[in-house]
Amino acid sequence: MKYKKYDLENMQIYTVKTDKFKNCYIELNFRDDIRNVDACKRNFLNIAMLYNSLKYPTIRDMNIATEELYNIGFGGGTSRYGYNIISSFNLDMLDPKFITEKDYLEKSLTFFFDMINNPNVKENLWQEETFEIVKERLHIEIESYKEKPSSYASRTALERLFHESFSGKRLIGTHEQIEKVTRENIYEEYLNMLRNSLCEIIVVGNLDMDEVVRIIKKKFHKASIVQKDIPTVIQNPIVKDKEETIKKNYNQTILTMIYQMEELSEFEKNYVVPIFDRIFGYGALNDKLGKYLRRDNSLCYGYSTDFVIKDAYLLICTGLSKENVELAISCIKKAYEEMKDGIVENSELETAKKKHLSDNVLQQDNIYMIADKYYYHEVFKRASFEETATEIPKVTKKDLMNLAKKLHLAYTFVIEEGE
Amino acid sequence: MKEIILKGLDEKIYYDECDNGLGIYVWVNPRINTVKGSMTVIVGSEDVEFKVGKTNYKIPFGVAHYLEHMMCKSKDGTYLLGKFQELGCYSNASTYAYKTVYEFVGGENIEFALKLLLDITAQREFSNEAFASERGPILEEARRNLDNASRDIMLELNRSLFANYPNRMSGVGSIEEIKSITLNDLKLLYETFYHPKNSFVTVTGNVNPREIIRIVKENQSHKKFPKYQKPQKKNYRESKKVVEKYKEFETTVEVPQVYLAAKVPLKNLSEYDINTILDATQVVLSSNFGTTSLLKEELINKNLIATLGAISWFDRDYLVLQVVAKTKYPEEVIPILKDKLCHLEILEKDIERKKKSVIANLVLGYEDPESVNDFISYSIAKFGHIWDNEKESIEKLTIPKIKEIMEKISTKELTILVAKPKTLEKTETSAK
Repeated sequence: MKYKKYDLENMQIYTVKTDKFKNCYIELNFRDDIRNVDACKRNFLNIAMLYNSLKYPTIRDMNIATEELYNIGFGGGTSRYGYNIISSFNLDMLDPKFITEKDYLEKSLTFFFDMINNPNVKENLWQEETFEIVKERLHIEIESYKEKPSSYASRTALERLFHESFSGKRLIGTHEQIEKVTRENIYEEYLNMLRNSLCEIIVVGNLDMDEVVRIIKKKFHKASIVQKDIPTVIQNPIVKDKEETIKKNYNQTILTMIYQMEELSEFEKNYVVPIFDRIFGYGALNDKLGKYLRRDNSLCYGYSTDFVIKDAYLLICTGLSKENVELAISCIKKAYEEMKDGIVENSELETAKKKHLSDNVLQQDNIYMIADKYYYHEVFKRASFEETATEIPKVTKKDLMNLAKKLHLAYTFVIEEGE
Repeated sequence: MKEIILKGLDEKIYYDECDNGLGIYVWVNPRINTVKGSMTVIVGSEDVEFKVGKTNYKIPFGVAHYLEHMMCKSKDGTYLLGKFQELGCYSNASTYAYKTVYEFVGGENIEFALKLLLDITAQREFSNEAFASERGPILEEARRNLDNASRDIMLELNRSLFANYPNRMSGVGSIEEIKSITLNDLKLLYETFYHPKNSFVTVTGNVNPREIIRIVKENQSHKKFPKYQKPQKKNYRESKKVVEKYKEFETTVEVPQVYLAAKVPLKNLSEYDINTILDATQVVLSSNFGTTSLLKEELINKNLIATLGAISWFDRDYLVLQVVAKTKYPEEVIPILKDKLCHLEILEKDIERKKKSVIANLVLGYEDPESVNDFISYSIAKFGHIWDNEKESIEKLTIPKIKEIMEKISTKELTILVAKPKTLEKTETSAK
């Protein structure tokens, strides 16, 4: 893999040339400080731009165009990393060497930038039908997370614990916030995004990258030069051992426990956290949670742990019978205490490192993972594949104990099953 | 070692067989690090009635799945999947309707991981303690599935379509069935179906095919298996009629979902292979209900639907053409979808474009060792062979041929299922 960075005046282009894949991937990110942006409006805009454009004025026209380009994938979404709000647009296309059609690369990139440069706007108003479709879709989407009990439990727990922080808010917003978006102010948001956001492009595939950059320069004229330094972690005030139970008509009880984290060093974020997670409760059954929750006590089928560095918390979730909740809580606490006390076999530590290093190699076989890793490394200083390979072997039992000491049980949330 | 050439895709699959009958399939991608190994046993959750010699057996639903859990557990109760982790590999096991698959994915220690996989699925003894302690996690898995809307809907749809097929029942088993399963049920299924003659191993990724075949053959040469009993799985008879024409039920959806499914006997299409039937029906459904259809555009613009899609699938002797929409207005949407499903259009321009997409997906499909492994396992377990002419088959799918196939398909036997939101009342009980 050959990495090359093109530092242009108003955008950064990160390229990875590799012949591993039959497809190529391009991602364009507009990045901003969420404290200065209406996240709901930005998310609305992102989705509206994926539906159609002036050149392809209906969803159908847009989809026909993608099929004619050998089913290129055009998509995107809005996400948050600390205080960074990122609106992404991506293009997934075949390696042009498989296509006999002339100028396939240029045609595909033309389509991509046309969708971004020319939204479906006339006289400063977003096209009405598209606007209404997106609005309706978002109203429906707001409720859809309730369809999966574990997502509902995690989301609700975060909202209740971090109700005043971005960590507890969903980017999609509320029904009321969506109603405040208008055909006029969404276009203003589009102009605002172009003018005031940082712009970063990632390209991965077997392409002549100089040629790609030449086409990008020709097809995409971002308006302004922007410089911002946006924090990558939201460090919420630590809450102490809050407990709540609600009842819902599900068939299974869901237990969620959130541990908040004190500020971590870069070494801890990049290398200690993943090793800790693999020993504690990655979900591979032979970790500590697997041992106490499933193997020794037969309490559950699955469990999950989610270390969310950007919001400094660890979320643990499992589904079980309501009469087993207390026992499950004590099992999770026991697993945590063992991590804090360094009750970790050397073989456990070595297996965790080995598995993580192996995954680090396997991730390099995934085009999207390569794009993601390179982007997060360059923009947010997260570990690269190479750094991971060098630093993971250095993680010690002491590091795991120190990390455990920085975790504090903040919230135990139970959704009790119906009768 | 034989080679199966995949026409038009510049790909091949290597094949060999051990003396004991175990099939070996290998696909190579030298550009990557990943290797996936899987052992497929051709017995699944729907195999609950079978005959060995003159004896008929009937076991509860959920036995194949329980057995899969037990195969991953050692006598002392530890999970064998952990042994793959020690080799730096990820591993898993899954029970499907027609097969059970044990697999690992890794980039190093492949020889050890492959031997471990072969050993795990070879002759085993189960302890009563390990059997008893696994029931709790399985019951929780079943209870979790009860809150899974898509599983719930598929079961209800199968129950509306089919009177006798075992797809009417949950593969994991109901709570009562799981509680009734005995260790003897597991032993019976294991001794009947877990045999090299009813299994095959698939290895895909950056490997040397000769070396893989050597490792598997060498490993199997040390194993002893009893004579294969050639069990006969039950052949289910199914009426041409759907069970219910219309049904409403409540599940954990937030917006109602409408399903229309036509039950078509494959007997009427016996001159075509199943791949051609699926390709032809899929491109027609896609052009009538997919992202580029006029109908979808019209319904979305009128805000009548949030999503619309259609697929064709088959189970045993029947093909199903299925349309699904997420809508707040089922009463208005159902007649429109029904009318369209009964009067499918075949538009040349649309069809040609859809074919282009299918070909692109096929080319891209031969890249990822995990999906190629899954494809081989599916093909062999379901059809007994690998489709080596998929690209050719799509390219040869002309408009007259599609018309010929569609003329033999009647959508008269139609079931309509409406999944409505279940009330999930919420009451605060305690807070600290």
